[in-house]
Amino acid sequence: MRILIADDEDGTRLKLETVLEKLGYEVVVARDGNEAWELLQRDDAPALALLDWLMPGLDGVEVCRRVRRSGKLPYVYIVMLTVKGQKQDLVAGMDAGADDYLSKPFDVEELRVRLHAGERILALQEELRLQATHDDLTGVLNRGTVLEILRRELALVARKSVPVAIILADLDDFKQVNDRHGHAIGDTVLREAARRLSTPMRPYDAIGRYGGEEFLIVLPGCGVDSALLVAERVRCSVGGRPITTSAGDVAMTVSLGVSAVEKAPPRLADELIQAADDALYRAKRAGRDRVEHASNPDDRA
Amino acid sequence: MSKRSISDLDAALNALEGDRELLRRIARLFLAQCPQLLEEVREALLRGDADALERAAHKLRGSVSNFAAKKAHDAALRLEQMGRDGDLSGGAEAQAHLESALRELQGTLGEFSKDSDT
Repeated sequence: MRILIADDEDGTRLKLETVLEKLGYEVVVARDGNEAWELLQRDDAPALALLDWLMPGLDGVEVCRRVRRSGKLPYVYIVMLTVKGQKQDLVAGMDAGADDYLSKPFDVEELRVRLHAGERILALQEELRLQATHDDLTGVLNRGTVLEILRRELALVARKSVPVAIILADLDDFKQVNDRHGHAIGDTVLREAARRLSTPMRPYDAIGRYGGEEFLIVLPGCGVDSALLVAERVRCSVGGRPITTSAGDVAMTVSLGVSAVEKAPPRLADELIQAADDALYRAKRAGRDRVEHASNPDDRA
Repeated sequence: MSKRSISDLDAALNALEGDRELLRRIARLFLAQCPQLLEEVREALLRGDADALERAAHKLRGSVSNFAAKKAHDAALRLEQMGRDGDLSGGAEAQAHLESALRELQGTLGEFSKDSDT
Protein backbone atom coordinates (compact mmCIF):
# COMPACT_ATOMS: atom_id res chain seq x y z
CA MET A 1 0.00 0.00 0.00
CA ARG A 2 1.21 3.52 -0.79
CA ILE A 3 1.68 6.01 2.01
CA LEU A 4 2.50 9.71 1.94
CA ILE A 5 4.76 11.23 4.58
CA ALA A 6 4.92 14.99 4.83
CA ASP A 7 7.39 16.50 7.27
CA ASP A 8 9.83 19.36 6.90
CA GLU A 9 12.25 17.80 9.35
CA ASP A 10 14.85 15.55 7.73
CA GLY A 11 15.46 13.21 10.69
CA THR A 12 11.78 12.41 11.11
CA ARG A 13 11.41 11.84 7.38
CA LEU A 14 14.40 9.52 7.32
CA LYS A 15 13.01 7.61 10.29
CA LEU A 16 9.51 7.30 8.83
CA GLU A 17 10.71 6.40 5.37
CA THR A 18 13.04 3.66 6.63
CA VAL A 19 10.58 2.21 9.10
CA LEU A 20 7.61 2.28 6.72
CA GLU A 21 9.55 0.64 3.94
CA LYS A 22 10.56 -2.07 6.36
CA LEU A 23 6.87 -2.53 7.19
CA GLY A 24 6.23 -3.09 3.48
CA TYR A 25 4.72 0.26 2.48
CA GLU A 26 5.52 2.10 -0.72
CA VAL A 27 6.55 5.51 0.58
CA VAL A 28 5.93 8.84 -1.13
CA VAL A 29 7.74 11.80 0.43
CA ALA A 30 6.76 15.47 0.68
CA ARG A 31 8.98 18.10 2.27
CA ASP A 32 6.29 20.62 2.98
CA GLY A 33 2.54 21.11 2.94
CA ASN A 34 2.30 22.42 -0.63
CA GLU A 35 4.06 19.38 -1.97
CA ALA A 36 1.78 17.12 0.10
CA TRP A 37 -1.36 18.84 -1.18
CA GLU A 38 -0.11 18.56 -4.76
CA LEU A 39 0.53 14.81 -4.35
CA LEU A 40 -2.81 14.21 -2.67
CA GLN A 41 -4.75 15.76 -5.56
CA ARG A 42 -3.37 13.31 -8.09
CA ASP A 43 -5.40 10.40 -9.35
CA ASP A 44 -2.83 7.98 -7.97
CA ALA A 45 -2.72 9.69 -4.56
CA PRO A 46 -1.66 7.40 -1.70
CA ALA A 47 -4.53 6.07 0.41
CA LEU A 48 -2.67 6.74 3.66
CA ALA A 49 -1.07 10.03 4.67
CA LEU A 50 1.08 11.01 7.65
CA LEU A 51 1.06 14.81 7.88
CA ASP A 52 3.20 16.88 10.19
CA TRP A 53 1.20 19.53 11.98
CA LEU A 54 3.59 22.44 11.56
CA MET A 55 5.22 22.76 8.14
CA PRO A 56 6.28 25.67 5.96
CA GLY A 57 3.74 26.61 3.33
CA LEU A 58 0.51 24.81 4.10
CA ASP A 59 0.46 23.23 7.52
CA GLY A 60 -0.81 19.70 8.02
CA VAL A 61 -4.21 20.80 9.26
CA GLU A 62 -4.79 22.98 6.20
CA VAL A 63 -3.77 20.13 3.88
CA CYS A 64 -6.21 17.88 5.74
CA ARG A 65 -9.00 20.45 5.50
CA ARG A 66 -8.46 20.83 1.76
CA VAL A 67 -8.49 17.08 1.15
CA ARG A 68 -11.77 16.75 3.03
CA ARG A 69 -13.33 19.79 1.37
CA SER A 70 -12.44 18.41 -2.07
CA GLY A 71 -14.48 15.30 -1.24
CA LYS A 72 -11.75 13.26 -2.84
CA LEU A 73 -12.45 9.59 -3.52
CA PRO A 74 -11.15 7.05 -2.82
CA TYR A 75 -10.90 8.16 0.76
CA VAL A 76 -7.51 9.22 2.12
CA TYR A 77 -6.83 8.11 5.70
CA ILE A 78 -4.97 10.95 7.38
CA VAL A 79 -2.83 10.67 10.50
CA MET A 80 -1.56 13.96 11.96
CA LEU A 81 1.93 14.01 13.42
CA THR A 82 2.35 16.26 16.41
CA VAL A 83 5.11 16.83 18.88
CA LYS A 84 3.98 16.17 22.43
CA GLY A 85 2.41 19.08 24.25
CA GLN A 86 0.19 20.45 21.51
CA LYS A 87 -3.23 19.53 22.77
CA GLN A 88 -5.10 22.43 21.19
CA ASP A 89 -3.41 21.74 17.88
CA LEU A 90 -4.47 18.17 18.12
CA VAL A 91 -8.11 19.09 18.60
CA ALA A 92 -7.88 21.44 15.61
CA GLY A 93 -6.34 18.65 13.55
CA MET A 94 -9.08 16.20 14.35
CA ASP A 95 -11.70 18.90 13.67
CA ALA A 96 -10.17 19.46 10.24
CA GLY A 97 -11.00 15.87 9.38
CA ALA A 98 -7.92 13.91 10.44
CA ASP A 99 -8.62 10.27 11.23
CA ASP A 100 -5.97 9.81 13.87
CA TYR A 101 -2.91 11.41 15.34
CA LEU A 102 0.49 10.28 16.47
CA SER A 103 2.72 12.12 18.91
CA LYS A 104 6.43 12.36 18.23
CA PRO A 105 8.50 10.60 19.29
CA PHE A 106 6.47 7.55 18.39
CA ASP A 107 7.77 4.02 18.41
CA VAL A 108 7.62 1.59 15.53
CA GLU A 109 5.12 -0.69 17.24
CA GLU A 110 2.69 2.16 17.78
CA LEU A 111 3.05 3.32 14.20
CA ARG A 112 2.38 -0.20 12.95
CA VAL A 113 -0.83 -0.74 14.91
CA ARG A 114 -2.19 2.73 14.10
CA LEU A 115 -1.62 2.18 10.39
CA HIS A 116 -3.23 -1.23 10.54
CA ALA A 117 -6.29 0.38 12.09
CA GLY A 118 -6.21 2.87 9.22
CA GLU A 119 -6.09 0.10 6.65
CA ARG A 120 -9.12 -1.56 8.25
CA ILE A 121 -11.04 1.72 7.96
CA LEU A 122 -9.97 2.11 4.33
CA ALA A 123 -11.17 -1.41 3.51
CA LEU A 124 -14.57 -0.60 5.04
CA GLN A 125 -14.71 2.72 3.18
CA GLU A 126 -13.99 0.93 -0.07
CA GLU A 127 -16.74 -1.58 0.63
CA LEU A 128 -19.20 1.23 1.34
CA ARG A 129 -18.12 3.02 -1.82
CA LEU A 130 -18.72 -0.11 -3.88
CA GLN A 131 -22.12 -0.54 -2.26
CA ALA A 132 -23.00 3.08 -3.00
CA THR A 133 -22.01 2.91 -6.66
CA HIS A 134 -23.03 -0.61 -7.67
CA ASP A 135 -26.28 -2.46 -8.10
CA ASP A 136 -26.73 -5.07 -5.38
CA LEU A 137 -28.32 -7.72 -7.52
CA THR A 138 -26.31 -7.64 -10.72
CA GLY A 139 -23.01 -6.14 -9.55
CA VAL A 140 -22.90 -3.62 -12.42
CA LEU A 141 -23.01 0.13 -11.65
CA ASN A 142 -26.22 1.58 -10.33
CA ARG A 143 -28.31 4.10 -12.24
CA GLY A 144 -26.96 7.21 -10.52
CA THR A 145 -23.34 6.24 -11.08
CA VAL A 146 -23.63 5.31 -14.75
CA LEU A 147 -25.54 8.55 -15.44
CA GLU A 148 -22.79 10.46 -13.68
CA ILE A 149 -20.21 8.80 -15.93
CA LEU A 150 -22.27 9.66 -19.00
CA ARG A 151 -22.46 13.32 -17.97
CA ARG A 152 -18.70 13.39 -17.44
CA GLU A 153 -18.08 11.90 -20.88
CA LEU A 154 -20.48 14.37 -22.49
CA ALA A 155 -18.50 17.21 -20.95
CA LEU A 156 -15.42 15.77 -22.67
CA VAL A 157 -17.18 15.80 -26.05
CA ALA A 158 -17.50 19.54 -25.71
CA ARG A 159 -13.95 20.09 -24.46
CA LYS A 160 -11.96 17.67 -26.58
CA SER A 161 -14.26 16.67 -29.43
CA VAL A 162 -14.09 13.02 -28.40
CA PRO A 163 -17.24 11.14 -29.45
CA VAL A 164 -19.30 9.12 -27.01
CA ALA A 165 -21.96 6.52 -27.68
CA ILE A 166 -24.53 4.84 -25.49
CA ILE A 167 -26.48 1.63 -25.75
CA LEU A 168 -29.76 1.13 -24.00
CA ALA A 169 -30.33 -2.62 -23.64
CA ASP A 170 -33.61 -4.12 -22.52
CA LEU A 171 -34.11 -7.84 -21.90
CA ASP A 172 -36.93 -9.21 -24.06
CA ASP A 173 -40.10 -10.45 -22.36
CA PHE A 174 -38.36 -10.60 -19.03
CA LYS A 175 -41.66 -10.28 -17.17
CA GLN A 176 -42.62 -13.72 -18.44
CA VAL A 177 -39.58 -15.25 -16.71
CA ASN A 178 -40.72 -13.84 -13.39
CA ASP A 179 -44.33 -14.86 -14.02
CA ARG A 180 -43.46 -18.37 -15.09
CA HIS A 181 -40.54 -19.25 -12.78
CA GLY A 182 -40.76 -16.80 -9.88
CA HIS A 183 -38.50 -13.94 -8.80
CA ALA A 184 -35.60 -16.09 -7.60
CA ILE A 185 -35.13 -17.52 -11.10
CA GLY A 186 -35.75 -14.04 -12.52
CA ASP A 187 -32.87 -12.76 -10.40
CA THR A 188 -30.57 -15.52 -11.64
CA VAL A 189 -31.40 -14.63 -15.23
CA LEU A 190 -30.83 -10.91 -14.57
CA ARG A 191 -27.44 -11.57 -12.99
CA GLU A 192 -26.29 -13.79 -15.83
CA ALA A 193 -27.65 -11.39 -18.46
CA ALA A 194 -25.75 -8.51 -16.82
CA ARG A 195 -22.58 -10.60 -16.90
CA ARG A 196 -23.07 -11.39 -20.59
CA LEU A 197 -23.84 -7.74 -21.37
CA SER A 198 -20.52 -6.76 -19.77
CA THR A 199 -18.42 -9.34 -21.60
CA PRO A 200 -17.85 -7.47 -24.91
CA MET A 201 -16.93 -4.25 -23.14
CA ARG A 202 -13.54 -2.53 -22.94
CA PRO A 203 -12.07 -1.69 -19.51
CA TYR A 204 -13.01 2.00 -19.80
CA ASP A 205 -16.58 1.36 -20.90
CA ALA A 206 -19.26 1.55 -18.23
CA ILE A 207 -22.44 -0.41 -17.72
CA GLY A 208 -25.16 0.31 -15.20
CA ARG A 209 -28.59 -1.01 -14.35
CA TYR A 210 -30.89 1.71 -15.65
CA GLY A 211 -34.22 0.19 -14.67
CA GLY A 212 -35.70 -3.22 -13.81
CA GLU A 213 -34.33 -5.20 -16.77
CA GLU A 214 -32.86 -2.26 -18.64
CA PHE A 215 -29.14 -1.49 -18.81
CA LEU A 216 -27.25 1.59 -19.94
CA ILE A 217 -23.83 1.14 -21.55
CA VAL A 218 -21.51 4.12 -22.03
CA LEU A 219 -18.81 3.82 -24.70
CA PRO A 220 -16.29 6.67 -24.50
CA GLY A 221 -14.53 7.47 -27.75
CA CYS A 222 -17.05 5.52 -29.86
CA GLY A 223 -19.01 6.91 -32.79
CA VAL A 224 -22.21 5.33 -34.11
CA ASP A 225 -20.48 2.74 -36.30
CA SER A 226 -18.29 1.19 -33.63
CA ALA A 227 -21.14 1.41 -31.10
CA LEU A 228 -23.34 -0.61 -33.49
CA LEU A 229 -20.62 -3.29 -33.66
CA VAL A 230 -20.43 -3.42 -29.87
CA ALA A 231 -24.24 -3.59 -29.63
CA GLU A 232 -24.30 -6.49 -32.06
CA ARG A 233 -21.68 -8.35 -30.00
CA VAL A 234 -23.71 -7.66 -26.87
CA ARG A 235 -26.84 -9.02 -28.55
CA CYS A 236 -25.05 -12.25 -29.50
CA SER A 237 -23.43 -12.53 -26.08
CA VAL A 238 -26.81 -12.44 -24.31
CA GLY A 239 -28.91 -14.49 -26.74
CA GLY A 240 -26.26 -16.93 -27.96
CA ARG A 241 -27.32 -19.72 -25.66
CA PRO A 242 -29.99 -20.20 -22.99
CA ILE A 243 -29.32 -19.22 -19.40
CA THR A 244 -29.04 -22.19 -17.08
CA THR A 245 -31.06 -21.93 -13.88
CA SER A 246 -32.24 -24.34 -11.18
CA ALA A 247 -35.59 -24.40 -13.04
CA GLY A 248 -33.92 -25.46 -16.26
CA ASP A 249 -32.69 -23.50 -19.26
CA VAL A 250 -34.29 -20.13 -19.92
CA ALA A 251 -33.99 -18.58 -23.37
CA MET A 252 -33.26 -14.88 -23.21
CA THR A 253 -32.66 -12.22 -25.83
CA VAL A 254 -32.05 -8.49 -25.69
CA SER A 255 -33.13 -5.48 -27.75
CA LEU A 256 -30.77 -2.58 -28.09
CA GLY A 257 -31.00 1.08 -29.00
CA VAL A 258 -27.84 3.00 -29.89
CA SER A 259 -27.21 6.73 -30.01
CA ALA A 260 -24.01 8.77 -30.20
CA VAL A 261 -22.63 12.27 -30.12
CA GLU A 262 -19.64 12.76 -32.37
CA LYS A 263 -18.82 16.42 -31.86
CA ALA A 264 -19.85 19.63 -30.18
CA PRO A 265 -22.33 21.14 -29.50
CA PRO A 266 -22.81 18.77 -26.61
CA ARG A 267 -26.08 17.09 -25.92
CA LEU A 268 -27.63 16.61 -22.57
CA ALA A 269 -27.56 13.10 -21.19
CA ASP A 270 -31.36 13.12 -21.25
CA GLU A 271 -31.47 13.87 -24.98
CA LEU A 272 -28.99 11.15 -25.81
CA ILE A 273 -30.86 8.62 -23.69
CA GLN A 274 -34.18 9.64 -25.21
CA ALA A 275 -32.74 9.03 -28.68
CA ALA A 276 -31.44 5.61 -27.64
CA ASP A 277 -34.77 4.83 -26.03
CA ASP A 278 -36.61 5.71 -29.25
CA ALA A 279 -34.27 3.39 -31.17
CA LEU A 280 -34.83 0.68 -28.57
CA TYR A 281 -38.60 1.07 -29.00
CA ARG A 282 -38.18 0.57 -32.75
CA ALA A 283 -36.13 -2.57 -32.09
CA LYS A 284 -38.90 -3.95 -29.88
CA ARG A 285 -41.60 -3.14 -32.43
CA ALA A 286 -39.56 -4.73 -35.22
CA GLY A 287 -39.61 -8.08 -33.44
CA ARG A 288 -37.03 -7.87 -30.58
CA ASP A 289 -33.53 -9.46 -30.40
CA ARG A 290 -32.11 -6.73 -32.63
CA VAL A 291 -30.16 -3.49 -32.69
CA GLU A 292 -31.52 -0.14 -33.87
CA HIS A 293 -29.83 3.21 -33.87
CA ALA A 294 -30.78 6.84 -33.87
CA SER A 295 -29.02 8.12 -36.99
CA ASN A 296 -29.55 11.61 -35.67
CA PRO A 297 -30.18 12.03 -31.95
CA ASP A 298 -32.76 14.65 -32.83
CA ASP A 299 -34.87 11.99 -34.54
CA ARG A 300 -37.95 11.14 -32.60
CA ALA A 301 -39.47 7.84 -33.69
CA MET B 1 28.80 9.40 28.11
CA SER B 2 26.78 10.19 31.19
CA LYS B 3 24.40 7.58 32.57
CA ARG B 4 21.49 9.82 31.73
CA SER B 5 22.30 10.12 28.07
CA ILE B 6 22.89 6.38 27.72
CA SER B 7 19.40 5.65 28.99
CA ASP B 8 18.01 8.38 26.70
CA LEU B 9 19.47 6.74 23.64
CA ASP B 10 18.27 3.35 24.83
CA ALA B 11 14.72 4.69 24.79
CA ALA B 12 15.25 6.08 21.29
CA LEU B 13 16.68 2.76 20.21
CA ASN B 14 13.75 0.83 21.66
CA ALA B 15 11.37 3.04 19.74
CA LEU B 16 13.14 1.91 16.58
CA GLU B 17 13.00 -1.72 17.68
CA GLY B 18 16.76 -1.78 18.19
CA ASP B 19 17.71 -0.54 14.72
CA ARG B 20 21.09 0.98 15.66
CA GLU B 21 22.01 1.69 12.08
CA LEU B 22 18.89 3.76 11.51
CA LEU B 23 19.40 5.69 14.74
CA ARG B 24 22.99 6.31 13.71
CA ARG B 25 21.88 7.70 10.35
CA ILE B 26 19.31 9.97 12.02
CA ALA B 27 21.99 11.06 14.51
CA ARG B 28 24.46 11.95 11.75
CA LEU B 29 21.78 13.92 9.95
CA PHE B 30 20.96 15.77 13.13
CA LEU B 31 24.60 16.55 13.90
CA ALA B 32 25.01 17.99 10.42
CA GLN B 33 21.91 20.16 10.70
CA CYS B 34 21.92 21.12 14.36
CA PRO B 35 24.07 24.26 13.94
CA GLN B 36 21.73 25.60 11.29
CA LEU B 37 18.61 24.81 13.33
CA LEU B 38 20.12 26.52 16.34
CA GLU B 39 21.16 29.48 14.23
CA GLU B 40 17.56 29.97 13.14
CA VAL B 41 16.48 30.10 16.78
CA ARG B 42 19.22 32.62 17.59
CA GLU B 43 18.36 34.85 14.66
CA ALA B 44 14.66 34.82 15.46
CA LEU B 45 15.44 35.87 19.03
CA LEU B 46 17.82 38.54 17.80
CA ARG B 47 15.22 39.99 15.49
CA GLY B 48 12.51 39.60 18.11
CA ASP B 49 10.49 37.64 15.52
CA ALA B 50 8.04 35.55 17.56
CA ASP B 51 6.59 33.62 14.61
CA ALA B 52 10.01 32.66 13.30
CA LEU B 53 11.05 31.62 16.81
CA GLU B 54 8.02 29.38 17.18
CA ARG B 55 8.75 27.69 13.85
CA ALA B 56 12.49 27.32 14.39
CA ALA B 57 12.11 26.00 17.93
CA HIS B 58 9.37 23.64 16.84
CA LYS B 59 11.52 22.18 14.10
CA LEU B 60 14.41 21.75 16.49
CA ARG B 61 12.09 20.08 18.98
CA GLY B 62 10.90 17.68 16.29
CA SER B 63 14.53 16.83 15.51
CA VAL B 64 15.61 16.13 19.06
CA SER B 65 12.43 14.14 19.77
CA ASN B 66 13.93 11.32 17.71
CA PHE B 67 16.52 10.82 20.45
CA ALA B 68 14.17 10.99 23.44
CA ALA B 69 16.39 13.84 24.65
CA LYS B 70 14.21 15.37 27.32
CA LYS B 71 16.38 18.32 28.32
CA ALA B 72 16.86 19.58 24.79
CA HIS B 73 13.23 18.91 24.00
CA ASP B 74 11.95 20.87 26.98
CA ALA B 75 14.30 23.77 26.30
CA ALA B 76 13.08 23.96 22.70
CA LEU B 77 9.48 23.68 23.85
CA ARG B 78 9.95 26.63 26.16
CA LEU B 79 11.21 28.77 23.29
CA GLU B 80 8.44 27.56 21.04
CA GLN B 81 5.84 28.61 23.59
CA MET B 82 7.49 31.99 24.00
CA GLY B 83 7.18 32.42 20.26
CA ARG B 84 3.57 31.38 20.30
CA ASP B 85 2.74 33.69 23.20
CA GLY B 86 4.67 36.53 21.58
CA ASP B 87 6.58 37.08 24.82
CA LEU B 88 10.32 36.77 24.24
CA SER B 89 11.37 38.36 27.53
CA GLY B 90 13.06 35.24 28.93
CA GLY B 91 14.60 34.44 25.57
CA ALA B 92 18.29 34.79 26.43
CA GLU B 93 18.08 32.47 29.39
CA ALA B 94 16.00 29.91 27.48
CA GLN B 95 18.48 30.04 24.64
CA ALA B 96 21.35 29.36 27.02
CA HIS B 97 19.48 26.32 28.38
CA LEU B 98 18.88 25.08 24.88
CA GLU B 99 22.49 25.51 23.83
CA SER B 100 23.77 23.67 26.86
CA ALA B 101 21.30 20.81 26.35
CA LEU B 102 22.22 20.61 22.69
CA ARG B 103 25.95 20.50 23.47
CA GLU B 104 25.30 17.54 25.74
CA LEU B 105 23.16 15.81 23.12
CA GLN B 106 25.70 16.48 20.39
CA GLY B 107 28.39 14.89 22.58
CA THR B 108 26.28 11.79 23.15
CA LEU B 109 25.30 11.47 19.53
CA GLY B 110 28.86 12.15 18.36
CA GLU B 111 30.07 9.17 20.39
CA PHE B 112 27.19 7.00 19.30
CA SER B 113 27.45 7.79 15.62
CA LYS B 114 31.15 6.86 15.63
CA ASP B 115 30.51 3.41 17.16
CA SER B 116 30.34 0.49 14.83
CA ASP B 117 27.63 -2.11 15.31
CA THR B 118 28.28 -4.47 18.16
